[in-house]
Formats: sequence, C-alpha cells, structure tokens
Amino acid sequence: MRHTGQVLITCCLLIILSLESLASSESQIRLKFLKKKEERKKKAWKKVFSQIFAKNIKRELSINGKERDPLPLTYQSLYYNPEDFPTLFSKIGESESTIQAFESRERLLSKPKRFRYLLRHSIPSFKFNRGARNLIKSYNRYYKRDSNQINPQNFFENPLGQRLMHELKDTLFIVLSGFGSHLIDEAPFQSVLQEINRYYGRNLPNGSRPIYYPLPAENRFQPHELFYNVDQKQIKMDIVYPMGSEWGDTLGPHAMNAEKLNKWISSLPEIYKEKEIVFIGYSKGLTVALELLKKDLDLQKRTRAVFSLSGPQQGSLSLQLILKDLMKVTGTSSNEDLYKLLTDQNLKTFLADLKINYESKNQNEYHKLLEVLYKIEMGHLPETLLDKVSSFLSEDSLSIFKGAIEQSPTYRAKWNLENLNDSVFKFPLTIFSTSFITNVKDFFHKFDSSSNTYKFNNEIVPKIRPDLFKKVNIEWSSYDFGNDLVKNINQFVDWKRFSMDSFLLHLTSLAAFERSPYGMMDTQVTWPDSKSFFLDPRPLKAQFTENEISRIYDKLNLNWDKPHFDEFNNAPRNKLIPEEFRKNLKFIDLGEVRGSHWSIPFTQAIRIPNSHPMLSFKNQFPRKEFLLSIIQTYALYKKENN
Amino acid sequence: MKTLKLTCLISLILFSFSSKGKFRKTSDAHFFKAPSSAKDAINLLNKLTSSMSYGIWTNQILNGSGNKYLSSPLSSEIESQQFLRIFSLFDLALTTEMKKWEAESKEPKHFLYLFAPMEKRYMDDFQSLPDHPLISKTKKASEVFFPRFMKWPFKRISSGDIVHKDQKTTFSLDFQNKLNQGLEKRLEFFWKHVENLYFNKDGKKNLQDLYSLYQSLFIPFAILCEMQVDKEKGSSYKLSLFLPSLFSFEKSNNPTLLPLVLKPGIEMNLPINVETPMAKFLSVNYLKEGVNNQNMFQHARKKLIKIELTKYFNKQDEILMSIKFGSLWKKQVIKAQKPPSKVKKFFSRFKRKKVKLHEPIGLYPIDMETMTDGIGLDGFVNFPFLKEKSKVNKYFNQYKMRVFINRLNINLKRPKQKSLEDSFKKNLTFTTLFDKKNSLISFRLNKEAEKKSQVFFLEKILGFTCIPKPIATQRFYFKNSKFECYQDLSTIKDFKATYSNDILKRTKRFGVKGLSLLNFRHTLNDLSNRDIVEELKDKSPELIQDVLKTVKESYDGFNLTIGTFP
Repeated sequence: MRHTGQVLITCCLLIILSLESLASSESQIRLKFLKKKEERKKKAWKKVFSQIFAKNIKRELSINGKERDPLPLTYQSLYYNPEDFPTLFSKIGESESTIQAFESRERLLSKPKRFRYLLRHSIPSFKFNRGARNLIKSYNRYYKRDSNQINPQNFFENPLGQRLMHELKDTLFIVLSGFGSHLIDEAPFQSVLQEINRYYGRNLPNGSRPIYYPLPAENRFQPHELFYNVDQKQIKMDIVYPMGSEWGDTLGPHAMNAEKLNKWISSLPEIYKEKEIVFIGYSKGLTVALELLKKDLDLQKRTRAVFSLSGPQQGSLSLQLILKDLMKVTGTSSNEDLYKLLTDQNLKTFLADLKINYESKNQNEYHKLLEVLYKIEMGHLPETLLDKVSSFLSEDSLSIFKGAIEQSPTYRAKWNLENLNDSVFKFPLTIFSTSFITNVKDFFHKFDSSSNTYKFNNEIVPKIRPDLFKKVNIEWSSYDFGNDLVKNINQFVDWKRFSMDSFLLHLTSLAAFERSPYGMMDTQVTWPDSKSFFLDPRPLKAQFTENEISRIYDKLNLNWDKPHFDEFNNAPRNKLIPEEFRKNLKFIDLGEVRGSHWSIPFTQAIRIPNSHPMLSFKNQFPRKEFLLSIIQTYALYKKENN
Repeated sequence: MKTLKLTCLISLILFSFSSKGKFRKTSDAHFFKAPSSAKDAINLLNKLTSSMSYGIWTNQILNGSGNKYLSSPLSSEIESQQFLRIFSLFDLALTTEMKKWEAESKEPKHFLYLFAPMEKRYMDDFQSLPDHPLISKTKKASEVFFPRFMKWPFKRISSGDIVHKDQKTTFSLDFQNKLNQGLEKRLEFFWKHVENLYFNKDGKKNLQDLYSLYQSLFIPFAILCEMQVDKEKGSSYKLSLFLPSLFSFEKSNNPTLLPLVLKPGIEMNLPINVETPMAKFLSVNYLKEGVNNQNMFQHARKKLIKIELTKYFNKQDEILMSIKFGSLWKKQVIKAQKPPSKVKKFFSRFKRKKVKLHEPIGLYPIDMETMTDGIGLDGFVNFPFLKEKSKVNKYFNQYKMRVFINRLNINLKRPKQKSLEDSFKKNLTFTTLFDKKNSLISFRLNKEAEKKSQVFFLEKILGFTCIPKPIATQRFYFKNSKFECYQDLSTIKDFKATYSNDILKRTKRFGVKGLSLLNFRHTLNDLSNRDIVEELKDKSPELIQDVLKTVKESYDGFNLTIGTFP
C-alpha cells in the first residue's frame, strides 16, 4: 500500500511538473512566436515604405501629365530588397573584389522585376489590424484614381491628404536639417513643406519661410513664431522646420543645438503645445533630436517616433577623415589661429605638461590641440581641461571641432551604448532608419524623366559654352552680385549643367569610399553607419581598431555590468545591450534610397549666395514623393500600434 | 629632398626657354585643321573632357570602393586592368556622345590636330591661328603647366593641304613631303646629339649637346589625331603617335655632365618567362640584331615606331590598336598590277559588296620589310611536357629562337550588349585580342655549329643558312671556325608562298622543316590565346617589388639617392 501510495504521489508530482513545464514551454513558444511575428512585421515596414514610395512616384508622374513608364525613375531613386540589413550586408560581403561588390549590390538592390512588382500591385493589407487595413485601402484607392481627380498643386487638398490630416491631427512633424544647414536657404524636402504651408495659408503664394536679405544669417528668416501663427484653417497635422540659425550654428556641438531647438519648439504657437511630436531628422538633425530627447523628459513623453534620413547614427566617416583638416573647411581666421598657436609658449607648456603620446609624429600644435579636445570628449582626459583648451582656440574653431568630434564613429558608438536604453529613454520611442546610397555613375548617366530617356550628362565637369568666341558681355550691378556672378560665369561655362554639389561631394569623399564597407555610402555616411546601432550585426572590431575599442571601453559608463573586453570586441554590436534594458526603444529599418547626401533632400545645397535657384543646376530626386511616403508610413504605423 | 627640389627647379628653368632652337633646322609646331566653326571645336572638347572624366571617376569608384575597409578590404584590379577599364569607359561615353552628335549634324565634320617637326624654312607657308584674346589668354594660362609645349607655333592646315578621295583622307603630296623631311631631320638631330653625348665627342662634358637636347626633347616626336563626324560614311577617329627607336640608360664611361647616357635599343629580361608548348621566352630586345656599339646610332637614326588607335563608331564595342616597328620610308617601286582572271571577274558580280569604311589619315609611311627592325622576344625551343633536364630538351634548348614583331595588332573588344545602356550599366571593360592574321611576326632560329657534320645537317636537312664565325686562336691551340646558323620564318602566308611552287621545297617542307613550322604555329597560337594581363596579375606584387628594388639599386649605384620623402 505504502509503495502504491508513493508511486501515486510520484506520478501526481510528475504530472504536475510536466503540466507546468508544458505551460511554461507553451508560453515560451508563444513568446518566441510573438517575437518572430514582431521581427517579420519590422521587416514588413521596409516593403511597405518602398512600395508607397514607388507608387507615389507613379502617381506624381501621372498627375503631371507624364503618362509614362515609372520604372526608370523608380529604379533611379530606390534601392530595394525584401531581406533585412544583416542578410544583405552578409551577401554583399561574400564578394572578393571591389567590382564584384559593386555588381553584387546592384544585382541585389536594383532588380527591375522587384520594382515592377511594387509598382504594379496594391499594397497588401492582410498583415495589419483593421484600422491600418482601412488606411491602406484608402492609399490603394488614391493610387488607382484617375489623374483628373487629383489636385496636382497641393497634395493636402486631395482626399488622401485630407485623410492623413485627419488621422494625424494630433501629430506635429518637425523636420531637422543637417550639418552646415544654417548656411543653406533651402529646407530639406522643401516642396512638401511649401504645400502644407500653402494649405494653411502661410506666406502665399510661395509657401516657403520668408528670407530677409541682406540681413546676417542669425536673423535672416521671418521668426517662426510669426510664420506659424496663421490661423486661416484649423491646424491638424502639421510640418514645421527651423531654418538658418534658429537652432544655432549647425556646425557646432549637439548640446548647444539641442538647447536652441528646445527653445524653438517651446516658442511655437500654443496650438502645437499638446501635439505629439515626430522628428524627421536628416543627417545631423537626427543626432540633435536624440540629444534633445535625452535631456528633456517632457519632450520625450510627447515624442512618438524619430525618422533618420541618412542620419549618422553611428558616425560620419567623411567627417572623421577631414577632421584633421577642418581648419581649411571653416575658412575662418584659422590661419591666424595657427600662426598664434605655433608661437604660443603657453600652449607648448600646456601640451608638454599633459605628457600624451600624440598619434602622429608630424602634428603641429593645432592638430595636437584637436587631439586633446577629442580625448576630453571621449572621457580620456578630465573635462576641466576644456576651458584651458578653449582659451587657445577661437570660438568658431572650438565650436566646429566639437561638432565634428561628436559625429565621429567612436564618439557615436560610445553615445549609443550609454544612452540607447530605458534609463535614458523612459517613454516608448520608435526610431526608423532610412539609408541613402550613392551610385556615383548617376553623376554622369541617368534617366531623365522630362525626355523619358537615359542621358549621358557629366554633371561634375563644367562644359565650356560653344558660343564662347562671340562677344562676351561682363556686367555687374551694385545690388545683385549673386545673380550677376552667375550670369557672367554662364557666358563661359554652362552653369546649369554643372553640379557643384556632386563635384564637391565626390571629390571630398574619395578616401571615404575606399574605407567604407564595400564602398556603400552616400558620400558622407556609410550604409551601416546610417542604421541604428541595434540593427547592425557587425562586431565593433569590424569597424574600429583595438586601440579605438579600448578607448571606448575604458570610459564606458553603463547602468549594468560591462561585458568582458573580448565579448565587447567580438560580439555583434546589436547584442551588446541586453534587450531587457531597452524595452522602450524600437528600431525599424525602412531600407535604402538612391542618391547622394545632398541630392536627395535639396535641389541645390551649394549655390552662389543670393543667386536665383533657376540659374543653377538642380538635383533631381522625387523629394515630395519621398517625404509623403515617410508621413504615410508613420500614419500606418500609428494605426497599427494604437 | 633638397637635391630633388633643385633638380626640379633647374629643369623648370631649362624647360621654360623658347624651343624654336636657333641652332637646328626644324621646329616643332602644332597644326590644326580649322573646324567649320569654333562652336564645333568647343563641342568636341566638351565631349572629350566629359568622356575622359567619366572613365577616370567611374573606375575610381569601381576600384576604389571598400578596398581599404578595415575588417575586410576588397581587392581591386591591377594597374593595367584599370587602364583598360578607364579606356573602355571613356570609349563608351565618347561613342554615346558621338552617335548623338552624328544624328544631330546636318553636315559632316572633320577635325585634325598634328604636332610635328617641320623645317623652319617652310613655317611661313602656314598661317598662324587667329589671335583671339581668349585663345591668347588660354595659351598663357596653359603655359604655367606646360611652358615649352605651349611656346611652339600654332599653325593652320588649309583645306588645300588635305585631300578627301575614294573614302580616304590624305595630306597633299607637298605637305607630306615637308613633314617627312622634317621628321628625318629631327631624328637626325636627336640621335646626333645623343651619340655625341655617348662618345663625348666634343671632349668638354657635352654641354652643348645637353643644351641642344633640352631645347628639343619631346617624345613622341609627332602626334596625329583625326576625327570624322559623318552620318553617311560613318564617324571615326584615329590617334597616331610617332616615336624614335626605343632606348635605354647606361652609365657613362666618359666624364660628362650627367652620369647617364642614352643608348639606342633595349635588352632586358621579361618580367615573367613566357612558356609555350614548344618554346620558352626569357627576354626582350630591340635593335640588337646585327647591331654593335659602332653602328647602333646609324641604325637608330632610321628607326621609327608608330602606335595607332583607330575607332569606328559604328563598331561601338571595338577599337583597333596597332604598334609598328620599322624604318623610315623608302621610295616605293610601283608594281604593275596583273588584271584579274575572267573567272574571278565573272564571280565578283555575285559577291556581297562590303560597305567600305572611311580610311582615316595616315602619316610617315613606315617600312616594315626588314625583320630585324621589329621588337624581339628571345628564347629557345623547349618542350614543357618533358622534364627540364631530359636529353630531348637539352638538345632542343640549343636552338635559340628570336621572335620579331614588326606589327602587333591588338583588338580591344567589349562583349556585345543589346544596347549602349546595358554596356553602361555593366561597366564593361576591354579584353585584348591579339590579331594574329593582321600582325607581322617572324621567327629566327639560331644555332651554333662547330663540326662540319652539324653544319651539313643544319643546312641541307633543316634548311638553315650557316655563316662561318672565325674565332681567335689561343697560343698553340687552334680551333675550327664556329658557324652561326640561322633560319628565318615569316608569317604562314609568306612561308607557304615561298614554298608552294617548288616540288623540292615542298618535299622539304613536309620533312623536318615541318617541325619548325609546327613549332611556329603552336607558339603563335599559344601566344595569341594567352591573357598576359591575368598572368601579370599574379606576379604583380613581386613585380612591383622588383621594380622598386631595381630603381633603388640604380639610384644607389649612381649615387643619386634623394633621401626619403616626409
């Protein structure tokens, strides 16, 4: 009896245990299933965004009376493959030579068959919830509409525009431009911004932020408090953007930019105070947005998403390479600075006292100071030295160097590790990444939508005017120097067919292309560096030397146990911070578009000051379609995650 | 570093002097055939710069993307492959531009540029270019970079000096004669001073000869570039470069100003041994056959090398390259042509008429009949499938082989695509195809013989020609004369022509001579099918090391060490 009893008890225990384990394995299975579903959904956003972009291109072509095959323009503006970034990166990495890598990437990302699929088929809705499905249906209806039923002048007057206005009525998009943008009079993706401004009756008929010439840069634009304080229509969804120096010297340090941006946002009209915020950060705009959110909890609470458009989330390789020659870029009194530094005995004493081994033997005092500044930023030297260093440099030089150092890959790696976690970001936030990839051949040979043919136009070599030997008439007026200069140059060279942007970008990025993974970059930011830290499977040693990694490791300030150095060096970086410490953050990859760092957002980044845009080369890219795709994707995402 | 800077400064000063050269009879000049309008000339310039930059920059991206990536740097092509790729991309871009221009042009256009020596007494026969302020300003600006090149006179070629006839463009006879004479005198002048320097004829450190050469030295001696844009006849271009005999540097045995002197001809080991199924080649030479220290300058004065690139834009994926080694022209005896047979005449009616392509302009006719004018590859008969030390190989290795190339025709070809767009997308490069049929290649087999029986065998059986080569006696030891035996084999066509009509010779042809022919055929086939560039690729790092080592050793040897750059 006793034995029977023991057996029975044992059996019961076994049954209970197995039930429990079944339950726990079931919950584990369920968790795994949900996780996989989540991963699949994340991948799906890339397809959704790419398809919306392709369809927008097709829609715009049809509206503008160009009932032509949208495939060539789509092919030239988009790179698409349904696989995720780690898979694609690995596939391209199988190449042995530079040419194989180029061919491999074009084959993987530029297959006409895939683009035709995206253009031809409706956006599938079965993976989404009911709300999102309804919204997708409205997108599909819009794309099928007759072009006569679409308002070509203003997207927001159209049914889909209205629908988006309604769906996102509590959303404020803030578009932030990049490094050096305070020197450019054009906002990124300006055409959409103009349309929404016109919709709300701001600065009609043009719709852009009024510029007051010839006032200095700081005060050049009409104050935003005035510009956005127009109440012709009820403000629903809106897109706002700082211009000029409204968020400070964009070459300068992030802390300063973030502070000024915060003030800018706070001083927007009352109607915007309660709206949810979505940052659309192009280039440095992204890193400034993250810096701002890190510091301001109230803003964090309001912010739902950040879109990174070629943001240097993991640094800018180009900027790192020109860091040491930055004094030439600034064009300020740098030569004077240098002369003073070379003869400054106090500086020599200061540097000698620091007793550091400088990296290169032939560095002059300027370079040494820069290295000291870099070490302070990375935490290897005490911050108290900053004042002393500042005393040797002009304000401009110091500001620019700090700004540039903060864009370097080593700095960003440290920043990402220390800040992309729940102790800093206390509220849910989704970071979307869109990468730009340049096919440099596009500078010479591209599809021209106006003539519907491929054209060979070398836009980086100026063309001499054939009628040069006719009478040349050089004229100057006292009030219109910019336009006069362009007109005079135009008599010698076909200025409209020469792209200063492409010329400068390419010339200054040759070294960066050589050092970028498989040559994939947009002339400023490499492909993997434009992805969030946690979307990148590369170990740190794939990008940094051991010395650089130990510099990051030594001064890393984490809220959890630092991994061993070996693990830190060799493990995939997206595993370096355990997921349980970053539950508030979601990272979604929206894929890649084709163009250069400047040609995608701007018609002209570099233009002779005060000259009319029509007199210079215009970069071609479907900008309106691109920004609208971002907004449409966000609307869907919001619906899906409500 | 200081020495280098001083050398550069002195060279710059010397190169800045006027190069009209009062002491020589010729002057170099730039000749232009004026296009119908300046607009056309500027359009052409734009297309050329556009295409060139496309080639260079696209290659930079293709070969300069990720090649220095920290964790896994990618390999890029070696220099020769990159050069071919740049050229192919340039050609692709230029073809696109020219086809477009051809379609837009209502009338044919003809451009011609010639840089050539001309006797001074004829200079005034040619009009100078019009003096537009823009031209003179551009010239002045260019003088900063090319001081001497821009100081040579700029002349116009009148329409009377160019003749278009029967799908062919030529210079007028008068102009041709002036150019030919100019080149002859130029070569004479150049080699005379080089010879003086070599032998230190003036005994005063050759200052005058050095000065003369600095005043006149520019190689190539002539450049001819012609471009036709013609919808009906087809557009084309031809670029020709004219060079003197190849030369090498040698340490001077005389107390001259410079430690080095020029010596005509070259003789050096090949960077890689070229092995074929029946022969092995180890070195290359030029102007060494039948040439010694006494007569080498005499020979060099007459030698000319032509490099020609011809492109027909209708054949969009092909460029013809030809390198010719020969001598200055000699007066040709016009052979009387036999009338075609009646049978041939009858059947010629049914032959498909080939569209005759327009023949681009030529200059300085070159005589390539003398085999030894060509560049030579030196080697010996060898059978790689046998052991190196086998008796058969040991015997056959005694037969030295020298291949002479008088005309090397190479076709640069891209794989054909459906359209130019496809070629652009794929960034196709050229492959080099050796045109065996149109090249002029000869073989000379050499063997030494001592015994009469060997001489008999070589002469009567193998068809060699043996020449006695007496050797000096040494005290009481007398040796028989040595015989230098050789046999020349030209191209298959010539060989067959020589032996086809003679029964005895035909018999011999099928005998042991057939072995020689077989060797020739195999070697030629093998050489034409090899991708030397690929073979060089494997050896490239070693080659570069070798070259650097050789350069360093020569500097050290001549005490020209310039120190390390910072």
